[in-house]
Amino acid sequence: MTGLAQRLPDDAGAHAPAKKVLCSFSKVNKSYDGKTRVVADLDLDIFQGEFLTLLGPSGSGKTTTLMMLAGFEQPNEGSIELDGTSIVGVPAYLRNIGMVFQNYALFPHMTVAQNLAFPLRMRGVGKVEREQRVKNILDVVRLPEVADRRPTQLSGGQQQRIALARALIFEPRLVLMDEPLGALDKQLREHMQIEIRQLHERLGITVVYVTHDQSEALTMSDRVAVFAHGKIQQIAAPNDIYERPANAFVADFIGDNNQLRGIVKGHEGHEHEVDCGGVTVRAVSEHQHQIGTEVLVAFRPENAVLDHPIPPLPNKFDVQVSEKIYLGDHLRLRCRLANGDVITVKISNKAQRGDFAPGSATSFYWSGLDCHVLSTEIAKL
Amino acid sequence: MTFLTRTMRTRWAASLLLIAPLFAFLLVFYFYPIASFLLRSASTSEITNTIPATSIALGQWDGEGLPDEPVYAALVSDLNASAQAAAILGRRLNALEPGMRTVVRKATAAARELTLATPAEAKAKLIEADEKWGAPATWKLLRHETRVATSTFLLAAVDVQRKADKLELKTGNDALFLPIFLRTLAISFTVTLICIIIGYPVAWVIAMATPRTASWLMLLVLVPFWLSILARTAAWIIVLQGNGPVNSLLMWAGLADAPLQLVFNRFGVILVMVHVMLPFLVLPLCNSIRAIPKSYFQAAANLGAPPVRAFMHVIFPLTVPGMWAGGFIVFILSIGYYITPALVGGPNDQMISSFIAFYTNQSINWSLSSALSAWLLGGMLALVMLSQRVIGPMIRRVT
Repeated sequence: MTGLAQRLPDDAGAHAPAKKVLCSFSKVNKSYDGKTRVVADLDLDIFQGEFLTLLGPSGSGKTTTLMMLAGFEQPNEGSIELDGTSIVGVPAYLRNIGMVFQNYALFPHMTVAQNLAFPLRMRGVGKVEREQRVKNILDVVRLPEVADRRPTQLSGGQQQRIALARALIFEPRLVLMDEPLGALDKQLREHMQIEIRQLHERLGITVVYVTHDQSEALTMSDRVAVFAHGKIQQIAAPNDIYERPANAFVADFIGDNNQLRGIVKGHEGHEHEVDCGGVTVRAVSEHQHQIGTEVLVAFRPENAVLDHPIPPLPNKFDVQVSEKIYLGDHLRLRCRLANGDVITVKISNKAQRGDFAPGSATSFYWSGLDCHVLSTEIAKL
Repeated sequence: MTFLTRTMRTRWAASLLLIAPLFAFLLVFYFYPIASFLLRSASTSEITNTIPATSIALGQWDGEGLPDEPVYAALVSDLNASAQAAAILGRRLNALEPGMRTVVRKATAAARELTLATPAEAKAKLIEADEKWGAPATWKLLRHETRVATSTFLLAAVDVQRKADKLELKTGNDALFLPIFLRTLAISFTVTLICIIIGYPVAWVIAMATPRTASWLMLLVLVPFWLSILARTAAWIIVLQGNGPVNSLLMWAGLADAPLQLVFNRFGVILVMVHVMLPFLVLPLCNSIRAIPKSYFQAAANLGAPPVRAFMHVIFPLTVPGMWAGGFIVFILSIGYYITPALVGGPNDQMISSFIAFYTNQSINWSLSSALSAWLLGGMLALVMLSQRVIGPMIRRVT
């Protein structure tokens, strides 16, 4: 994904234009049983027009955050503001926030057109205008022919699009999506990802999207907020999340990552020297880590360089191949370091030299900028 | 292809074999008794077995004027064959035409002295015994009731009478069964409606409660199920009687000056039936409310529907199948209900089942009780099919 592009961390996110905060959480706490907090001290700004993804494993607090935004759950503490006014305590039906549900929640006793007209009826929109807007939105999702069908007569992908249309038809200030593609097969899911993304760009809507699928988050979002243990571990543009994970959890959760435990031996600006069980690794970090602290060094399998490069790369790992997996376009190797640690290496099939038979010895190189020093601690409750 | 069909045929045979015992059981112990009982409504065997010779002789009569002398002779010999025959014939004919019991009794008395008489003598003596034996109408009636099948009882069960070869609907005070059928429908409908009105909120609360609370509430609904229906009904009589707790409370509160008649009338019948039937409504309805995904409630709110409108437009339509299923069970059970009206109803609150029981156990007119049952069963089947036609598509749309 990133190749060997060597960049220092950006200060700004992916999109530069002046951002207006549409919605903000501050110091929000939520607990269902009064003991364990599902969401803890959450601060989050959602910008006008952005596509923000809340990504995390189940139980990380991402869905609860969405539910508080939709008005189905109320925070125990803290404030949530939308357009500058607090929405804590405002019932869901007055919030004017669109939502696409995981199982679509299309009403089975209504036709597609009736489903789409429902939010307009609730807002007292006249019949003529209702029909016109239903027609328009069906054109937007490219399903003009299904108006009179029942939701059960539609395919999964069609239902998904109608659910999307229903969330958009009343022109909400914010559209929430709760794992909307989870029920679709892989091919359709990838197609819908592009479609949702295009709709977002065309209509200029603000989207908050919840998923546990990291590749979905990386493909679709302007920004990704990685949730774990009720806290945001990192919120940044997809490439920052992938290339410069803030901590061990993010590094581990997003993509494959090799993580070696080590002790900081020295540092100079961003650059650190870490001793990982006998192998000295040069790596970067946004924060400075004190000499002698225990840290993790993370580096991606696909950033491995096979040949001895010129100019030389600082990190050389002498390994013994223990397992080789053929994956068509690339090879995945499990390799054992001299100290017993195991790392994964991903190399392009085309660039393959030698056959990397299990048991054979070889060397791989990593750029210092592709190795990241991470604190062993992650944000917890 | 042939292999496939053969495999499928083997599977078919195997599954048929598996359901065969159940099928045989149903056939022998369920369908056969019901069918044979229902066939009685059209059967003439009671008369043809009583007067076999006359039945055969009448089969050759053309129905014009009076039958020939041998028919009279056959009747004489049939009446002399057994004393019981005369009684059965008299009772059965009397049910069709009042006064026939006497006519038969007179013929029986005359027949005793005619054991060795010629056919001509038999005819003359019988007509002498009662002039009705000289009337073509009497013989026509007898011929009609000795055919292969008769519609008399099926017609009588809906108050239709054959008079001089014309069908006539009994009305006013003569009407007997139609008002009772209507009363049965009215009581069942009222009970169903009240069950829905009372049961819907109950089902709703149970479906929405936490599992712990829900199981306690469900227990309250189900406890009556565990009690004998007789005990339950007796308990209601105690509660509702003149000096029972309800009346005492009403009088103490000054709401009534004298004890109100709460039992042995329509009020008592409906009250007790609602109590008996309520679980049959609450259970399916509760299930259908529970089956509604939480996300529908959320989606309705999210799309701008305040709670009441969300209920009206989204939730209520989705509970209609459960409500319909429960209501249908209550209605069907109510229509065939017997014990509650018999115990806590007055004479004007008896439902059709009571009459079926009466004709089966006391009046021993099985033909009539079977005709009433046939109409009841037919009516219910028609109702089931109608509801499938009308409500089925509506429900399929929802589910």
